[in-house]
Amino acid sequence: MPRHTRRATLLAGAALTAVMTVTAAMPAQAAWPEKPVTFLIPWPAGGATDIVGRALQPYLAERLGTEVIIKNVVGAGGTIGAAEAARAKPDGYTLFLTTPSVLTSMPHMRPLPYDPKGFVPIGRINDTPMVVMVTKTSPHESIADIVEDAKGKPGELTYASTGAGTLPHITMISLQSSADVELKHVPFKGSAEVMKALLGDVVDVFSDQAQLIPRYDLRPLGVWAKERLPEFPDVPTMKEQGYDQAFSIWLGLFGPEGTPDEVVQKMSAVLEDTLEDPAVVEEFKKLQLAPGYMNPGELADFVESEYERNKNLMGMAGIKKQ
Amino acid sequence: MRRDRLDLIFGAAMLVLAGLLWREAGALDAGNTGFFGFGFDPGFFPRILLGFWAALSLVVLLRGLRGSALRVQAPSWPQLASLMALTAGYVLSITLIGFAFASVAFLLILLPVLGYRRPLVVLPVAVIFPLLTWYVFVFILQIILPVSPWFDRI
Amino acid sequence: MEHLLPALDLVLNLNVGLAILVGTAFGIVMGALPGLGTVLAITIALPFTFSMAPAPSIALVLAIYCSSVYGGSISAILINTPGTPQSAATVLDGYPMALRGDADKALGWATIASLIGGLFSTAVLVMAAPRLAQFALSFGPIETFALIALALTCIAGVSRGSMINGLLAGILGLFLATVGTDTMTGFVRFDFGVFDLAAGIELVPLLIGLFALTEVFARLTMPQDQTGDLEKRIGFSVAPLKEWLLRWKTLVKSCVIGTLVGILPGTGASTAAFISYSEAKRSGRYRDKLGTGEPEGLVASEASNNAVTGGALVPTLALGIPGDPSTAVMMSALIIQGIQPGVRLFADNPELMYGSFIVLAACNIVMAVMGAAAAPALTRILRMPEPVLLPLVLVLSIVGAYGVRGNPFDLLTALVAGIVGFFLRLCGVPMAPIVIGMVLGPTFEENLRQGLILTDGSFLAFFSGHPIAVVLLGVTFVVVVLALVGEARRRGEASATTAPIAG
Repeated sequence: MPRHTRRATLLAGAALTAVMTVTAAMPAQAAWPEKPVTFLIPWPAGGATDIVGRALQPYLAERLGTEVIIKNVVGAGGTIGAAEAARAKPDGYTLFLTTPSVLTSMPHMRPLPYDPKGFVPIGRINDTPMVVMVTKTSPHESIADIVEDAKGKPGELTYASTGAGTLPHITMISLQSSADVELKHVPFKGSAEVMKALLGDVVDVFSDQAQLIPRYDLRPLGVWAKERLPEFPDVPTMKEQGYDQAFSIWLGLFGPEGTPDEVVQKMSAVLEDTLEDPAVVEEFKKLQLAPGYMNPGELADFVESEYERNKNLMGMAGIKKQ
Repeated sequence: MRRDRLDLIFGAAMLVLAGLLWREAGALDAGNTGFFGFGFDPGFFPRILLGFWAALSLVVLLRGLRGSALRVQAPSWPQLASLMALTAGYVLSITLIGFAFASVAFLLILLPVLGYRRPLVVLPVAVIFPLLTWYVFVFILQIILPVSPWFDRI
Repeated sequence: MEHLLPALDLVLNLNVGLAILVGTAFGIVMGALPGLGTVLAITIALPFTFSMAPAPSIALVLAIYCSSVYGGSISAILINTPGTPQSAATVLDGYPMALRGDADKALGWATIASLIGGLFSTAVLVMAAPRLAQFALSFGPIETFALIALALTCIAGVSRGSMINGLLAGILGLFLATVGTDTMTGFVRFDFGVFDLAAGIELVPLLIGLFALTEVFARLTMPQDQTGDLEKRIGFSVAPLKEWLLRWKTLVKSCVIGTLVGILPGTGASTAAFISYSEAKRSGRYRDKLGTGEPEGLVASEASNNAVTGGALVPTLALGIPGDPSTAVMMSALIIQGIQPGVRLFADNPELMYGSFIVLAACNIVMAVMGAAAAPALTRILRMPEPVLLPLVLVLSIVGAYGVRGNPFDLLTALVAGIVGFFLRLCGVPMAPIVIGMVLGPTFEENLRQGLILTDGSFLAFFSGHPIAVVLLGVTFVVVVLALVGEARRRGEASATTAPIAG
């Protein structure tokens, strides 16, 4: 394409975008956003959630036409950040980028100063299935092996988690209750500590995100998803092995209760568009994340169903509110 | 100040504190939630610590009772009270009127209180230093500082 | 070594050099500013690495990593505030030296000791990373518990004045670390209904309160001995080789301790510095002068905390298991580049790995040069009149306390720690053990409880089938007994009429 034509196309494109933005913003009282938008992340800077936020930051800023600021408010399993997000002014300038636990599992463990159902869903960003894994030197070749072993010596086989009520814990509760076996639960601070214990043969089984498997050269036994993963075509799903549940770690964008619908719609559209950007797709590939956009309506139903399921599972394990 | 008096006060205070915290630690019985099938409850480790804590406090208390002529340099109490009050006020005002304004006000008050009254130094220092710090944090390091209710960034 | 030439080729370019320069300068500043520090410094740089090639981005992150650990010593020496927790032990001798007017020498000792520590651990990393990484794996919860028990004995080593007060301070630190959410059960402990306490007490604001605030309070309300009239030398001065040779044992020991502690899990650079310091206090040539501004203390702490950098990279790179938050963020930086740390890293990316080692060595050298160059300007601040300097320290400390995680509650933590800490100092309680307790507490408790889960609640079982743990616990026992005996003997000799206030 000759140079001047390309510039003309670009100009036309820019003009078109401008017109579209104006029309889209017409119904709102003013064109949101007219100042920087803050993304509140309840996990530390440099953590898995934060990296996703920072990877998206420039692409979202470009599309929103304003600065995107990332603010990490950390502590207490993300609930400190969630509480601050819930308290924020619902004007669309403070949004909440989070993992599900603060909305779907922490509320079943202790009283929190925010309403987990109060947040307004904007969109889901990714969806990384959980996988049951052991080391390459483990005697267990399948979930059936583990179940059989555990039946023989109840309470001797150990599984690691990243703390009570976290997804690695909940998935193993689910497995234990469906298979009617009992494994010993050893909670750790984070997945790095778990990996050390797993590789050092301190614990036997762990259930967490798939991307850990190549990094630590582990053996996947079962995928908590409806279909097999493209990275591990030979690894059966848990459903195939008789445990019909799906668990995944995902990130969602939410607004505080009362966030105007125009903001939700526009932000959600921007998010969807960003996630389809080839550069972002490439970025996600590097981070080994599977994109999994959901619109506000779908996300609302999804959060609700996860909330109820975790409530049941945690009740089954005897976890009660403090 | 006499060293043994300080020991008495310190030992007694720590002992009382240990007692109060022990009650709190006792209430941390995960047994009543029953979900932690293996291992020890969350109060287990703090109770061990409080045991040591109480024993050591008792030793300090006994040391104080035994008496000694050692003396410790005392601060100037009125100065200390005003300095602590000013600092506390500063911390509180940061959350109310933002870092930049609170710091300027704090320095404008504190420097003269400490006996440094040359306006040609106080004024520029008290204004430039906080604003520079604020600029570096907010714009270069991108760390958001508490803001005043009047503006977006400051 | 067949990878050396391609590795050199990879890192000998303008972008990498630029990244090292910028990263080092930025790291020193972030380390020196109270409160900010390694993790935050790397995090701020992370977004920039998105658009950079792997080699320069790794260079940037490595440069920030080692120089921020060094930077912390500058504020520790000049204003009694460890810029990062890693430099908490540097305060003990660095600040008394600065008070004496020897800030130039103190910076010289700290800089060269940091350089040597950093280079030593880099060499270890190059030569033995994969094998040492396997060693790190043999530390399960029970071994780690024993290791931390041993590390905790350094509380005795840094308790100036009274051992009892020091132990009590250590217990206090361990206890403060239990406040907040218990990660194992999700229970919130000792929050007294204050929701913000559910996140626990943050170390950095506490440190700022205990060191910076208490020092400002003390300096402004307690008449000081002669400091005002002293000539305060500025600049940078390295002690003659003879002086260094007199302290070579401590230097070597600290390098080894730092590297080992870096490799082993769950402790980190602040602990390494304290362990080296208490070792110097036990066996150093100038052990009796330690704590009064003796360079040997600076050598112990600074060689050791910078030696941790190379050591900590061993499990991070070779296993993909970062030992502390700083290396965890560094690992994120690698993952962003599409590089997966872990067992296959050395096989998959040999050039990049050896390139990084060359860069790491270069970073340490650039760091020392920059430190020396900046010293004259930095030491000049000590010539400011106290009523101007100390309020500015106060403002900078407070903003640092907030900056760590952007929670206004941390301002309150720093304030309370400052006020309570001042009265503790008045009662002769040293501050350093509180920090040691805070730093080691969470890992200590977690590993103890994990160990007890694995042994079905039997502490005695820790002693069967865990040879490493048995040895470590045995050494711990001996160290404790020796310390108690030494204390009893000293008590017999003590005959001063005025006790100095503990720092």
